[in-house]
Amino acid sequence: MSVTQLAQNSFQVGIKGAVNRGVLADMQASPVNLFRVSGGPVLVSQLWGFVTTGITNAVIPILTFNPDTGAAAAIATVMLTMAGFAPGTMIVWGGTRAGAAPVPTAALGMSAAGETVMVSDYVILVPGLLYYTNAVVDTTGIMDWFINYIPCTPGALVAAA
Amino acid sequence: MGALKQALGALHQNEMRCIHRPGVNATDLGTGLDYNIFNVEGNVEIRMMFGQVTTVIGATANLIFLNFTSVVPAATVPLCAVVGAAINADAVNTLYVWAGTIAGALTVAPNIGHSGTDLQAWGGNTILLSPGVIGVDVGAAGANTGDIDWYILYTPCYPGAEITIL
Repeated sequence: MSVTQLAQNSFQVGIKGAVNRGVLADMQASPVNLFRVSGGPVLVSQLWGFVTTGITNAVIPILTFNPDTGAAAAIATVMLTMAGFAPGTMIVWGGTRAGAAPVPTAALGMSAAGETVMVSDYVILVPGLLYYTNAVVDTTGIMDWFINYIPCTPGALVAAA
Repeated sequence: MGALKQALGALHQNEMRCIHRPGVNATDLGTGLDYNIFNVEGNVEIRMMFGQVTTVIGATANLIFLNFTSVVPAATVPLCAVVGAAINADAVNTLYVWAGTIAGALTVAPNIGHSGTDLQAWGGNTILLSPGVIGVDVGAAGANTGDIDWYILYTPCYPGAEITIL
């Protein structure tokens, strides 16, 4: 098989994951960088935050994506206040820009009204930076962030930013 | 040999696969003619397909959509409805997202697989395709500058089923 033929073949893919482990300094400033997409487009299947140390202030993050070429834009509406969020709270992105803000849930990816799921199988992200802005900083809270994705090319990658 | 083939078939896993077809203006939009992007070799389940502008599209007001020409019968059918607005002047990283339905239009989205107001969801679970060719219908507007890369995510239904780029 020639190199040209090899390049014309598809490659096996599966769900990959990346994690951004939070530190205390994260929520004391804005923006907070989460993940960088590089090497090619990816299909996001889940994106969520996990509170590891309780949050005190009324922080209101907005998830935002800034492509390497093109303009930055919010990918969700602003969160309601996160004051008092305890360790174990999950902040689950529903995969929509205009729909509800990332939904706070208790440990299971469930909101009070029911399961929080991505509205689509996948959301496409081109290379760029995923972060959140935060108009109200916090002094105590720490969150880890997680993303699951499928790479669309062998070199496509999501890594903590 | 039959037993060996049977054993190999039993080992086959229907793992998802992805393939990237880089755009080439000289043989794609530059011709002004409909062009083919993927060759389906065997039965496959399509899970997602989209285009990504990698060189800004020129001034020609092409109205594009995707079609499929099966081997048996030798017929061409649309895979989706025509894009809602002509693609002229679309910027780098504009995405053309197939919703997975024949009735749904190819949706233009900036950067992130969203339309202007919200997510362009994948409407189907998986779409079965028999052997054939997936192509891009560029309408009657004529030749254009610019490049579109195309991606397809799929699962082969049996050993040897595959999609390759054209």
